[in-house]
Amino acid sequence: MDILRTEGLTRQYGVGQAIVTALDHVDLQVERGQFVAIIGASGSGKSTLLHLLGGVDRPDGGKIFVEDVDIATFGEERLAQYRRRKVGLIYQFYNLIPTLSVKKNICLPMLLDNKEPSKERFDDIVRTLGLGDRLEHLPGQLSGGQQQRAAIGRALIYQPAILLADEPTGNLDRKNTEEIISLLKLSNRQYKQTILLVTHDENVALEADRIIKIEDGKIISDKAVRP
Amino acid sequence: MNIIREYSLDQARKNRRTSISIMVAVLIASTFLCALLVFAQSFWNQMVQQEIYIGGDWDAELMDVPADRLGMVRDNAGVKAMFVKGDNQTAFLPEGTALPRLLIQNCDIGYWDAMYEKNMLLRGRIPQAPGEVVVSKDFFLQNPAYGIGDTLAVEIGGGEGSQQKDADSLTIVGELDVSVSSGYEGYLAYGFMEPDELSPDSEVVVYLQMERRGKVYTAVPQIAQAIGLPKDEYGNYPCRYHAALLAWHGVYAPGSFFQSDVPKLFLGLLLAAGASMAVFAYIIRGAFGISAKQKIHQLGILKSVGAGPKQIGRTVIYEACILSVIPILLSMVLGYLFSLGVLSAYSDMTSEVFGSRMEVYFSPAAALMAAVLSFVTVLLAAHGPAKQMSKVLPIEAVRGEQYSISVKKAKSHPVLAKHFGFLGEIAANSVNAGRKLYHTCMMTLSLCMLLAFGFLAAFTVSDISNAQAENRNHFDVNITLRTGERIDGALLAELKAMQGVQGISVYARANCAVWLSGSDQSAEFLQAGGFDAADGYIVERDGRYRVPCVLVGMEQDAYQSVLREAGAEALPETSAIIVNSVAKNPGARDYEAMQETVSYLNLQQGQRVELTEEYSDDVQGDYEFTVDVAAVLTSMPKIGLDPSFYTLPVIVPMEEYYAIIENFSDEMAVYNYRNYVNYAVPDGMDEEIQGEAERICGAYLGSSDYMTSSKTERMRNRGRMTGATMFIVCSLAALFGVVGISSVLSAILNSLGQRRKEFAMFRSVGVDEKGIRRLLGMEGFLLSVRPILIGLPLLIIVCAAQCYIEGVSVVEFLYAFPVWALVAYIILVLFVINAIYMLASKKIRDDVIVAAIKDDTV
Repeated sequence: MDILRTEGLTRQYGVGQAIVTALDHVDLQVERGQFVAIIGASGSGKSTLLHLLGGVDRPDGGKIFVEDVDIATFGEERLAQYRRRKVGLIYQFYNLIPTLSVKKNICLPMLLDNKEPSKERFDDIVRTLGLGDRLEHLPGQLSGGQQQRAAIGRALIYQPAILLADEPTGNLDRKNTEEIISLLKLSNRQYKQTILLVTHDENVALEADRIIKIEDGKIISDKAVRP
Repeated sequence: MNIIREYSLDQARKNRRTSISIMVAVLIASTFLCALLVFAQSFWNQMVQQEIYIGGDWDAELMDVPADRLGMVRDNAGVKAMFVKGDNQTAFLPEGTALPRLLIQNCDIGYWDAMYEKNMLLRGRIPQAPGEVVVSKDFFLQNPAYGIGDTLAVEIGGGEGSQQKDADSLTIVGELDVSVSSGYEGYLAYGFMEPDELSPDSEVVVYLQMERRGKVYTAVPQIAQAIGLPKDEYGNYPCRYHAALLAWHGVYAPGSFFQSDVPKLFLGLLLAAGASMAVFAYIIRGAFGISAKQKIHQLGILKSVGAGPKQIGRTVIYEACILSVIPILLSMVLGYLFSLGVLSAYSDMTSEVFGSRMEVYFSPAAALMAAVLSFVTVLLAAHGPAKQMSKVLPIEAVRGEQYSISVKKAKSHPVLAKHFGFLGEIAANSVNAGRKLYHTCMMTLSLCMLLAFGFLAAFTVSDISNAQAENRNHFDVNITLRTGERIDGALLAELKAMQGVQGISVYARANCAVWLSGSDQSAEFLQAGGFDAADGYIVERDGRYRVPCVLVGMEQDAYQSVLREAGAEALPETSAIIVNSVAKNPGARDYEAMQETVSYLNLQQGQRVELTEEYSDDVQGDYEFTVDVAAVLTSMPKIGLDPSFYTLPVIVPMEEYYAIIENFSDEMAVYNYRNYVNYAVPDGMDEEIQGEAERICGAYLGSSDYMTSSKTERMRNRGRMTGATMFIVCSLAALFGVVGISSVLSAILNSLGQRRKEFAMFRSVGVDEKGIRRLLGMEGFLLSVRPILIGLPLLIIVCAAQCYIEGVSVVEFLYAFPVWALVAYIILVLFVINAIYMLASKKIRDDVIVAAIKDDTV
């Protein structure tokens, strides 16, 4: 069953003669619980695809169905709610709020809803991420790997159906890269989350169930790595 | 705590530089608004106190009230307090006094407390018991044997017409600065009365303070009706209102709201407050804009994890609230101290002109109002950036694309390229690219320049215009005698005998009108537009035109002299000289063109003219009188009177003048009985002559009954007023300047902070320390000239408009305008911005190249 589907998804940047088509009528289906890697050269449109799916950017054309609802038609408030509750976004440069503690950064999507996570859920995530002794620290006091784990914690806290990771290991060393990928795989297995991972590292991509290759804003290959 | 509030608080704490910049802007804005309200309230208080000082603290006056009805007035639910004056007595003085009697007005304790007479006490005290009196200063002048504390054995006569005299004694307890015409053959005195002891049939004047001041115009006639006072011939009860004081409290007689100056002043205050709020909201908005742009990346993160547009907007609003609390509270103190300093200095400069000092008055209500207005200003300022931030796409915000400095199209700068090479072009393009960032501070500094020098230009032009008008004035010393009755002949004789004067004129004037038909217009006047062109001056009804006239009374000898010059003789009765000329081009800007006159009416010697005192529809009286034209002049004799456009001067001998105006209604008597004495004196003598005139008037009149002025004194006072007003304007402009400089500092730090990498890159490709300095110096210079390039043309337009309106030439203006101050301001702005730029760029110059290039905030 598809959790995510796009039809003719298009995104362009610039005006007049300087228009660049980042995504060109992309059709894509992702089943619930799949771990999908999206690869492609720099500027191929893979991050743009991820941002559109995450609701942080607006398409110029096409539809994005998440659980059969077209998020491209959402107003600003509903789209914000979607970002809070339905997807978790992980960036290459962590993008934590530097003035909030690690604990608050992790709980941020729920705090924005004026909610607190259950203690069991929070403890479970923190234990899995290995951040138990860093919760009251500020992001600036953490290593890159720890910051990325906190960002993953933030993406997981609302138990979203979809995790979108944009080059999450692009700024990490080999050891931290392996740990982060393990965490994503664990999350995929343990919480049955659908994961879309943008990467240019083929070794990382091979950890996924399916690899989609994008070039010039179009999907040029879509292969299942494992059933 | 709500996460958005917590985030905003953390941001306000961590981003100290922008927080301080916002707080400074809010502090100055709320200080300005607080000062504006303190100025307004102090001015209002000054006006109210001044009105109470010169007119007393009462709302309405009931005349001819029988003493047995006083209880009814006092017990009326609408009356807060009642004061009584009356039961007038004549006390015949013992033998040996210069004049034979004291003319005593008795007042109760409430009257002495609330009314103005106590302020005229020169020495001693006010009466506190029956039998005590204060007497006018001329009593002591003419009877030096008497002093305060002396008891006078007098015979008290009753009211007017009473022959009965009772022996009594009066104790003199004080001296009052009042006088009465020598025609009364007595000295003015004030005594004490107990209203309850008045005989029931005596009539008194009652002054009322109302419980609800706003109802005074309806309540007082009802009280008059209730106590049975009769109406006069115009259908009005014998009551009068303290209209000037009531107007300051926002209470107006029906139909007089728009005639009062108070609503206009209030409207002016509202406009000033509104304009200040708008300007400061714009300035503070710039500071919030910079802060929001600095946080754009974080706001993008918040958005990407699910913060809604309202929540993003709220981060800016919360920041505004957090950062405005302390400045607004602090501004209450600063605003008061600023006002105290400015108004004290203003009072020092103007107290001699106004005769009193302005006390600083600041109530909790004004403080609260200032705080509310300041807070509204801050919210208005934050609203724009809040809305802007809430609309940004999360990914654009995360990347910081929305507000990164970028040049879409590089402009060529041949002049800079020629003189400063490649770096000159880079500097120009960088300043151009950061234009939006510097927009607010540049506008603030331009506004500061425009405000200070625009006002200075207005005062300069006004000074030139006043000096020109003064030069055209034939007389150097002017005296106004305003006792409300015919002026003592002995005083006028002494003033006319003044030594050392080259020319003198004495006249009195009263407004009146004449109804004419269209055929009474001269052919020349008709050609120039006639009555129909005088809309607003001449009223047309049923084919008849009401032409305004000024009835001028001249001393007999001067009147005869004018007649002689005109080759005419006085007529036996109601003889009048008419000045039959009218401005040909009343709308002309040029003074000479405006002075050009044509014949006004078809008037001839020997003609009879019928005039009326009803020169306006709201004049109560309708007395009509006729004059016979003894002579027709083509220009106004030089007596120091310059009638308004379309006003027909009708000159009569002084005796005839008084005979006419005694039939006029009392309404304008205070003006109609005024006498104007003007002297032309040799250069440099005007103040000496003025001093002598003061001495003569002071011997006859109370100090409030006359006024003198001279050219030198007027010029000095104008200088003081200009200086004092400029001091206030410059103080306010300085506040704008502080905000401008503070926002320049913040914008420069922010801009250079964003461009660390760019400068490191220049250095990495070989631009040396000197080159970087040159580049930064160029940028600083280009930035500093911007407010001047914006402000200077606007200032020139303002100056040109002022000159055009007042008919002042450019040469005259430039000669009088302090150009040096403008140059000094420009140099100061150039210096300050360049200094800030060079200091702020120190970090960039000291950066380790590789560290700066690696610095990637996204």
